[in-house]
Amino acid sequence: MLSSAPHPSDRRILADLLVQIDSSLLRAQNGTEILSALRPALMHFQCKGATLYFLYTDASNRPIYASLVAASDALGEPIPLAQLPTTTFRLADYPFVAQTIEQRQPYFIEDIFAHPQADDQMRAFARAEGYTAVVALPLVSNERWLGLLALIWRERQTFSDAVRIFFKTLQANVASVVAGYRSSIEREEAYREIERLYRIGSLVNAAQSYAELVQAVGQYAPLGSVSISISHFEGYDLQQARYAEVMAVWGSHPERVGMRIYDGAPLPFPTDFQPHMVTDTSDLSQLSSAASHLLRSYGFAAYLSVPLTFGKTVLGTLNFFSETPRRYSSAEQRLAKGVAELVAVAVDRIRLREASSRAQRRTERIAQINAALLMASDEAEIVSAFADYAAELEADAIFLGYIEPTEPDCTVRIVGVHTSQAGKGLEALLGMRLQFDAGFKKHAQQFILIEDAHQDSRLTDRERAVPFAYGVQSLAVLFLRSGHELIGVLSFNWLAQHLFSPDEAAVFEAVLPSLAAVVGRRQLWLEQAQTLDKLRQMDRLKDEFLSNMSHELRTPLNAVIGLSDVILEGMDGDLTPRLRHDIQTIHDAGQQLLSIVNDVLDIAKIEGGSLTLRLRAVDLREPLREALKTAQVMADGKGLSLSAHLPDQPIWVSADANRVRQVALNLLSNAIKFTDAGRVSLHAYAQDGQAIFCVQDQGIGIAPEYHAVIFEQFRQVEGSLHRRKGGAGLGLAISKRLVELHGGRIWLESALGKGATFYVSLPSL
Amino acid sequence: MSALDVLYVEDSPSNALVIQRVCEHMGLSLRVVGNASDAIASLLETPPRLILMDISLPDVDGLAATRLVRSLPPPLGSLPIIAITASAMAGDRERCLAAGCDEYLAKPFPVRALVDILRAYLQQEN
Repeated sequence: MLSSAPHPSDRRILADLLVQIDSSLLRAQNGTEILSALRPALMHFQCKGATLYFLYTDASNRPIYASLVAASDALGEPIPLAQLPTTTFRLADYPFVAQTIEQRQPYFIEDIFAHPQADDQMRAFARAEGYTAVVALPLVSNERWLGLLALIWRERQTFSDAVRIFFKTLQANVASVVAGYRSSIEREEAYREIERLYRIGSLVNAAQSYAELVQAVGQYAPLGSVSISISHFEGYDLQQARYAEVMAVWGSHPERVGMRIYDGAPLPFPTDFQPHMVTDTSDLSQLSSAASHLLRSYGFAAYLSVPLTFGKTVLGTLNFFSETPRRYSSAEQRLAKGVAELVAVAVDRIRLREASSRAQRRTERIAQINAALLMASDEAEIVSAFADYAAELEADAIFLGYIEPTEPDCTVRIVGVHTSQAGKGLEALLGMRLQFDAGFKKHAQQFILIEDAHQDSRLTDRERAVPFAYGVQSLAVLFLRSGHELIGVLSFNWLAQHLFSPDEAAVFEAVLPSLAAVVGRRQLWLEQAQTLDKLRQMDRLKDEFLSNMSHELRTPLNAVIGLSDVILEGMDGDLTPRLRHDIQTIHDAGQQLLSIVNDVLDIAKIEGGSLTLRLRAVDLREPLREALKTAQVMADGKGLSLSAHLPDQPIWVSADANRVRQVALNLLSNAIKFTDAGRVSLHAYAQDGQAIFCVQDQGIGIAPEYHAVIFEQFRQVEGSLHRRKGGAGLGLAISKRLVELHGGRIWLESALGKGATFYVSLPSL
Repeated sequence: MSALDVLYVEDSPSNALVIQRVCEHMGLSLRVVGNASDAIASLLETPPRLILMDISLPDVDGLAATRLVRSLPPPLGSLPIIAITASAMAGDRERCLAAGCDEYLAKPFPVRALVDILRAYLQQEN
């Protein structure tokens, strides 16, 4: 495109123009006024318009991007920046422009579409903006890159030497004005910085939480950010990796709170106390591609990260994120550093307070779990002891599993389940037996915390299969041991990923001993209950056996005793004295055998606890009289005299009359048995709230050393003399137990050769 | 007047002999059967005046047999039944009486006790 616009090349006219412009330039306060000051030149050269950019440099003072400050039309009138398609551009994207700027010389393009070095991008830009010719004036002052002034023409131009000299002069003049302008901006910023720091300081000092802190920063020192975050170095995680956690966010993407950022993955942690700046997150020379990807996914195009330092410790970082690529000026960096110093003090204060309130909550939680465990009497209650904590951790299921004795695999039977609403499906595991390799028992830790079950190398494939099958992504497994033996496991399960905190690890560690003890106790109880069941069954078998034995012995005894009775009654005809004697002996022997059978059954019932008394209000004299009736026959048989001394008044006792008779008869028959000649007497009386009866004989007596032994089972006083008296030696033992079941006492007074007196006392009614 | 005084249900011959001797002595007619079904058959054929019932029997036990007899229409159903059993553990007496027996005699028993019982029931009926 050709232009025939007349260019006055008269040097005078050009000199006048410079003077005219210069006086306006000196008054210019900002970018718009600077462009407005160029009005005579714009009109003189019939420009389409002009634009002024600020240039920003990297650490090595290379200009890296340009940011539009002002634009004007052909008359120097300002064009609102919002109407322009591009306000900021990366020089890296326009290599030709970058190149020309770096030469610091005015650059003249008479026809961009014919220019050999102009690239396609530039041409597309020019086409979009509607220009053909450009004069670009890099603005540099004292080696400082300040900006770029560009004048554009719709038509192709031819620039004469005089015109070129004019623009070179203009370049120097504008540069000095822009230098002053930029300094004043920075001075202004510095002033505002102090004011801001003062305001932020009071807010930060009052902040009670990270959220309030970041709010204060966002309110007074946003530095043009769309988002500000405070990341706190939490120390080390379970894999011993150092990480920072996002504690609070102001502005966009508040969901980043709680996110963990590992050192170098993707962002490097500060190694010194200096701010770290990335002017363009798509520039991979400034940051890793992972970091670039992450930041751009939030729409962050630039950021400034300032270490929060306290003493020599880096507590975390204060991060400013911008939506557009930008450089943070040294003033902004100074402000950020000042803010960070204030924030660091507050972070340290909040950190300590939160740590102490966390510790308190942790202690309360541990106490609550331990108390619930203490009360737990079965598996469901053991699991429920953790229900509140599981809700706090947003866990979806808790399982309690017992180790079953299998070889070589390890079998875990799920005995208790508690689930969240979302985890209802996991209830299906209750009662299941999970098979693991033998190595499962050899996990050396007290517990393992697995944030990603699909990746964690500490799990074997078989161990991984379970969470995989049920969609569990994170889990904590607590190993419950009794001594060194693994007896069970308790696991917390999350369907979505859960990141464990040191706090949680501390709670698990603290409750583990009481949990293991409660589970151990419960398992012991289950074992004992099983043993008890077996014992009960054995007891039933024993009772059955006793009942059968009794039956089987009584049937032949019935024939022996019954038939000898029949003969002795004379039902079979008359008897010779000799035959009567012999049959009587058979009959007595049968009776003796019967009493042994009865005694053995009694002892078995007493030992087994199945003998119960039928207590009634009984006049003690009644059972005694009945016993006397039977004993009288025995005494008569031996030619002994039997006397009874019963009071006239009733003696009321609470007793089983049959059992009292049994005791009295036992004592009387013993007395008769061990007395060869003389008298046996029975006395009864009430004394000191006790009903007492005693049986006195004139027999061989019992030496004092045998007074206690005699009441033991199967014991008779040693010696052939006594042995021949017969009996299984159970009578006194049974009597003693029966009396004691009544709450009474049995004892004897005797000396060898002086006879014996057996006393029984029963509580009176 | 029945043709049979005593029906004894008992599977032990030696035990049956004791009763046999007692009944001979008392002049009572006796039939001994060894199981419950024979007892019912005999009962229907020749009703006795009194039944002595062993409890442990080879087919159904004496308790079931007693309940069976009690379910018959009178006069069979109301015959006196005396349990004579070697089951002498706690509760055995109560079980026998609950099943419908009138008396309970534990083996071995004094012959006189049986004589007294037989006298009491058979004379009372006369």
